[in-house]
This record gives sequence, structure tokens and C-alpha cells, in this order.
Amino acid sequence: MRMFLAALAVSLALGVAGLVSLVAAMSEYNSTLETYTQLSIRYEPDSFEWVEPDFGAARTRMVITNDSPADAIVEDLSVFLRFDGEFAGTNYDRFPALEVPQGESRVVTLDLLVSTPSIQAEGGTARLSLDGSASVQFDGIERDLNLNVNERIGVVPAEGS
Amino acid sequence: MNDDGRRARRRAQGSYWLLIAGQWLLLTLAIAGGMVRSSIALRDYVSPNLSDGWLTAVAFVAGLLLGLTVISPKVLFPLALLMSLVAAATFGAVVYMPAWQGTLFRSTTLSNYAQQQALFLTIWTAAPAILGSLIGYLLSGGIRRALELRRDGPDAEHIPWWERPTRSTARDNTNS
Repeated sequence: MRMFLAALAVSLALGVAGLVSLVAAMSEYNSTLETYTQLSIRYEPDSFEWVEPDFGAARTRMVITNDSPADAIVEDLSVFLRFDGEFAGTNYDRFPALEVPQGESRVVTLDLLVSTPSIQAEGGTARLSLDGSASVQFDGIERDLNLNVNERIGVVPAEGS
Repeated sequence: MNDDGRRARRRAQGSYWLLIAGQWLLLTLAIAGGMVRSSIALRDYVSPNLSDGWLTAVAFVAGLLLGLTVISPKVLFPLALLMSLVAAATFGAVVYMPAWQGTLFRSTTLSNYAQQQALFLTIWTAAPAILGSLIGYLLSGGIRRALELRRDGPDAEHIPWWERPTRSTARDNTNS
């Protein structure tokens, strides 16, 4: 009988610990996921422009919106420019860490260098797109978020054409 | 045994299995708690994160505790397996919960991932749980006998504790 009661007592302790752990984990999982999904990095429509007439360089703006309940710091934003899905170039300059407080947006300008000579001439007629990633630190969350960027720009002819 | 004795025995058995059911539920919660803390699926979202060894240990100890209390092996091993299954189902529900709440899209990918992780954790915890229950069952008889020997002495007649007369049966025996 004593062994039976002792086993029940230990089971009760383990069960309570398990329940507390389960409830705490569920709450943390939910709030972290809500925070992660409420920060976005989007291409600002019609902001893409060719800086050089031979399609060697371009400039575009990205809007970082933080609708999450935590302040965020966006680092290492790196995007690849693609012509019809093929790699054409990227923003080679290092992206400085940017603070985006909760509920606010920031607009960043990225300078893109086309580094693929074989397709450079197609810049004015190709369907342009951007893809890449950024690292985001949220206030109060231990792990950083690796946020993917996938944006379609469309066809942007050279200035004056 | 007269009718009162049989009724008393049935009540005692009913209480016994009710306690076992409660214990099973508590141990299932313990395993589910261990799963959410140590799984890869939730590693990026939940801290602190435990290693897989902790989950294995929790499953083993849960099986051991169940083995110490359940007297029938025909019930014990299915209960141990069911513990892992239900804990894993709970874990799968936790992984999929953001889709129900609308935080994530309800996608087949997420559903398949939750099921896959739950299945993996069922297998991961079932083995130590069943092994622990077997060891607990084998130990339980020996521990009980040792406690009874210490209490009653080596010459006392050995009657298992669940077959000893209750107060009502002892009173009936005295009256008769």
C-alpha cells in the first residue's frame, strides 16, 4: 500500500510539472509565432528605377512594417535581383542594423548592382523580381527570425524609353 | 465470500482502477510536457529547450511508475503504449494550434508536419515507457514482499494487500 501511494504521489508531482510545462510552452509558442508573423518586408510599388541606362545598377525601396507587439531590429537584409528568375545582381553593400519599433514602419533604399554581364542587356524587358532574407531580433524573444523576402516587380524599362 | 464481501471487493477494485486512470492521465501529461520542451518542431519558439535524453528519461520513469502500481500485465503494456500515443497526439495538436487560431494558414504541409512529428515522438517514447513499465512490474512484487516481510516478519502468511479483508468483511467474519 505504501509503495502504491508513493508511486501515486510521484506521478502527481510529475503530472503537475508536465501540465505547467505544457501550458507555458503553448503560451510561449503562440506569442512568439504571432510576433514572427507580424513583421513584413515588402517592395514599395513603383519604387524600382534604373540608375544606369545600360541596366548596370538600380535602386529600389523596401518597406519594413512591424505590427508585432515587440520592438525589432532588422539586420543583414540581402536581396537578389532576378531577370526572369535568373540571378542578375544583389545589394553588395552591407545593410546596417535598423530599429523598427512596434507599430511602426521604416522605408529603406537598396542600391542594386547587376553583376551578370550575359543578361545585363535584358534588364529593360525582363520580368524583374527580388528574393532574399533578413535577420530580425525581437525584444523579449531569444531566437532571431530569419525572414524571407520574395517580391515581384514586373517589367521596368529604362528611363525615357 | 458473502454478498457484502463481494460488494466491498468490487468497490475496492473500482477505486483501484480509478486511481490507476488518474495516474495514467498525470503521467501522460508529464510525457506531453517533456515532448513540447524537447522537440525539434518547437525548438525555435519555446525555451528552455531540453535534450532528447530528458524526454527518454521522463518516458522511462512514467512507465516505471505505472509498472509499480498496475497489477495486471495485460492492462499495463497497452496503457504504457497508450500513454505515448495520447501524449504525442497532444503534442501534434500543440504544433497545429496556430492554424486553428488563425495565426498561420491551415495548410496540408503544416498538418503533415505535425502528424509526422507526433508519430516520431510516439515511437521515441513508447520504447522507454514499455521498458520502464516492465521493470516497474517486475520490481513491484519484490518491493511489496520486502515491505510485508519487514512489517509482519518472515513467518507471517503472505496475503496480497488487495486481497486482505476490509473492515466490513472483517466485521462480517467476526459476527458470523
